[in-house]
Amino acid sequence: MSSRAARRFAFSHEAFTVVLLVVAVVVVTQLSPYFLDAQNFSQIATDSLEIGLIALAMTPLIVVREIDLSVGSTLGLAAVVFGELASHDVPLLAAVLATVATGALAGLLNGLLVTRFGLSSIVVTLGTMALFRGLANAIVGDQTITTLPDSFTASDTRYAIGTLVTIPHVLFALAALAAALLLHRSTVGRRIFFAGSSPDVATHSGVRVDRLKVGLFVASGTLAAIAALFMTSRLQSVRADTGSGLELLVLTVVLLGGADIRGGRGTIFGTLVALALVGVVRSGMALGDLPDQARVAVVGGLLLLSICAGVAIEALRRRAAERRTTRRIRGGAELRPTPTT
Amino acid sequence: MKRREAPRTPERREEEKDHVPEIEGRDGAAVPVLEARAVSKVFGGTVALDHVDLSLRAGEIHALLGENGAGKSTLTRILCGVHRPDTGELRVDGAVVDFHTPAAAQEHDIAILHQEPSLFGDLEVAENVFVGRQPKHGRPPRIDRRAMRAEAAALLAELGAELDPAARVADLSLAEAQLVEMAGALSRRARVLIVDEPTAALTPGEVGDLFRVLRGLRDRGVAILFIGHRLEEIFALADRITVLRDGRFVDSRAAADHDEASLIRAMVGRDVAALHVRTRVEPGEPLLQVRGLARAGVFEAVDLDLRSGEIVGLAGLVGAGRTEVARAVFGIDRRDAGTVELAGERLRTPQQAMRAGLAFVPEDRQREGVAVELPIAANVALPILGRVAFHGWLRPGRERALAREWGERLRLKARDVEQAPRELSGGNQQKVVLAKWLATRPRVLILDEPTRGVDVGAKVEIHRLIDELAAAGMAILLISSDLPEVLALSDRVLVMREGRVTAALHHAEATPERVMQAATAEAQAVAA
Repeated sequence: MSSRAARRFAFSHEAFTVVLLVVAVVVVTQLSPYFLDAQNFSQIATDSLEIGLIALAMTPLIVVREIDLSVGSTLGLAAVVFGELASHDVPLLAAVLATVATGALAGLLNGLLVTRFGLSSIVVTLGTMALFRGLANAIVGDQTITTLPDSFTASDTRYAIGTLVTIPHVLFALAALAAALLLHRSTVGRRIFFAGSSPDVATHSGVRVDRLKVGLFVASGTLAAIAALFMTSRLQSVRADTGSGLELLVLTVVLLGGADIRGGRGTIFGTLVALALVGVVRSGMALGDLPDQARVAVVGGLLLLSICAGVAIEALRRRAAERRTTRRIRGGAELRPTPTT
Repeated sequence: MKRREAPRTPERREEEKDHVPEIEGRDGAAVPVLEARAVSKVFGGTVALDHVDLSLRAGEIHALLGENGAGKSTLTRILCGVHRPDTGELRVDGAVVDFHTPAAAQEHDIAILHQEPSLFGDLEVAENVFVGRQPKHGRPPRIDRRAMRAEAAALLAELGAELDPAARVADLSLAEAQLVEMAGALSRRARVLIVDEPTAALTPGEVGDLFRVLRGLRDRGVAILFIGHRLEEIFALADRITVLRDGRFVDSRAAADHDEASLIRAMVGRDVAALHVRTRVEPGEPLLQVRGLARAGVFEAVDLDLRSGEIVGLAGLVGAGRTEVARAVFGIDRRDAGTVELAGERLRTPQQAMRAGLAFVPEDRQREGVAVELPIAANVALPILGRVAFHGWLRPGRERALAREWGERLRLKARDVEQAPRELSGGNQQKVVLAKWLATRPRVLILDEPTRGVDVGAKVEIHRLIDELAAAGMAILLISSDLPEVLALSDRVLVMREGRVTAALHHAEATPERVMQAATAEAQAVAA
């Protein structure tokens, strides 16, 4: 790594998140003797998987200056649709496909409302967040669906390798790899960064910004529906409030991972590190028997920390550059207004 | 500007004081009303101002001159309290002051007239003149509207302006809005008035009126700092001229001691090679054909013909609809009527336009031309990303090679092609935009203000490039507010006013007078 690249990483949000992760691991290890255990790590991965899956779509959405607050409700609606179908003897494959389609349609609705009417996605997805949750309630009311086919449930105990790595773990790893390649190595990903960093430049260069955004909202809804399948299989039950509050965790992960809420910046790597961090913190809280309400407060605190850290890191970077330059003027060295030309 | 300022420690301030050499009163002259001494300002890694001096005396019009990026705006912002200097100090009447907010500068009777008047469009003229200081009466105090309008009328009359104090500001012309701002400054008894490029969008008549008002204020003892770049205006107006270059103070002299050549040399730092070279070639086959293009309320009935090897200039005032026409031709903005064809192929979307060989270098470089935070190589590759990539997968090596190739051809000065354009000068950012569009190998090129905010050296290079491209058979539509540039480069000049083409002139008959007449006066429409 050249010194410039090293400096860039040192002042990056990702580096900050890596440091936080190390600190969290050390602290939780000190607090609980049960933490440092392969089985516990496997459990953390299982518990983080649904959040991580949705975060894979939320990361590029944030990069492109949009947000999807409806993911928790989309997950709930998709889970309810699946529960209804599966418990009424609809073939499993058909039920799964209908569930995924539900998520995709929910995302399409968000995307079209945002792009066609030029609305802010915060407002639109806040609205659909209530809408989708309401629909889920209308379908199942306050009952809990537990009559799910055995071939579908308990996927979190089907192991791919040994007794640590489950099939869902492997599927998530593949999804994360695909997301990373698409965002950082493909032309679509490149266009996403341009659309988020300089939307007008993208439009002027022939990038169909609206189409990209619709696609990302559809991806977000679809991944929320797939997460609903994993969650339903794991919990072996469905209720109207399945997945409520999940959007907070997803956003915490994405923003803590260095995606800039103002768009143009974010990496799948950072999101994955932050996912691990949030997983460790939640595991620590569970081992420490923290009450549920307190856990939400900790997550909220993390979210605020991640936003403030973004601003602070930006300021640090600018200050470091300014200090280098100011030192040069004070020293009376020859310099040009733009040191690079 | 939302830059966060570091809280300054006392030590840091001490250090700065030590650094500034003490200069005492200049040979008996009156103490300047406002003075900047050894002022520096750093943004990120960029030095915007490097130990600059400026002194404004009562009753003078002082022109601040320099190319874009020379530091004029930064100095202006420091003088009116938007930025705080990193080194140096400001003095009012010889006493050191610290403007930590624009309000602090206002308390010292410094007023600024912005390029774009910053007024409340929905409020009436009188409200804007007295904003925040409206005369009150009664108990509880209410705004005394009658007194306010009467006082506003008196102030406007002093400026020689016939404006209804009850008129809504949004309904005023730019020139009238400037007068309202000036009346506001007058009402605050401003002793220093900073005017930032006020003439950019004014008609010649309005410029004359503005200058009369400024001279009147000067004769009443106001110190005026006039920022501009049209030399003829500077000579007509200024008593003294201070020149900045690359963020540094060059010199400050009586206007009478300068002539045009000496001013340009001071601004550029050397004698400038001939601007505007043009090898004319016989135009070839027709390429771009625009018929009856219209967009409701913006422009109408625009016809355009561009032939291979031809440069057509599109002149007109700011707001005449030139940029809007270009955007509609490229397919970014909706059209309400008309057709665009390139070599017989109908174009509707930017994607179709790009595929057919149309390229559009937009006016607002940093917003529309180049993504300043993303690497140069990615910017250059963007319009042809599909071709550079392999089945949708990026090939960074090819992107870098492409950017290097075009960077070399355009003599782009950058550290490397992974650098972010934010760190480049205006001229080099423009070269990135040009590289990006030339890499698409277009047949027709639309250039919207290609040399705005570009230093003279880069301007010469861009002119030479435009000439070479046309000589090689490209058809070029040149939109520019720089009249000498349009006249020297174009084979034909179209003039727009208020959304219509009001003149189509062959280069031999295109004189500044005829173009300006078509751009401003009620002129008869000429067949394009």
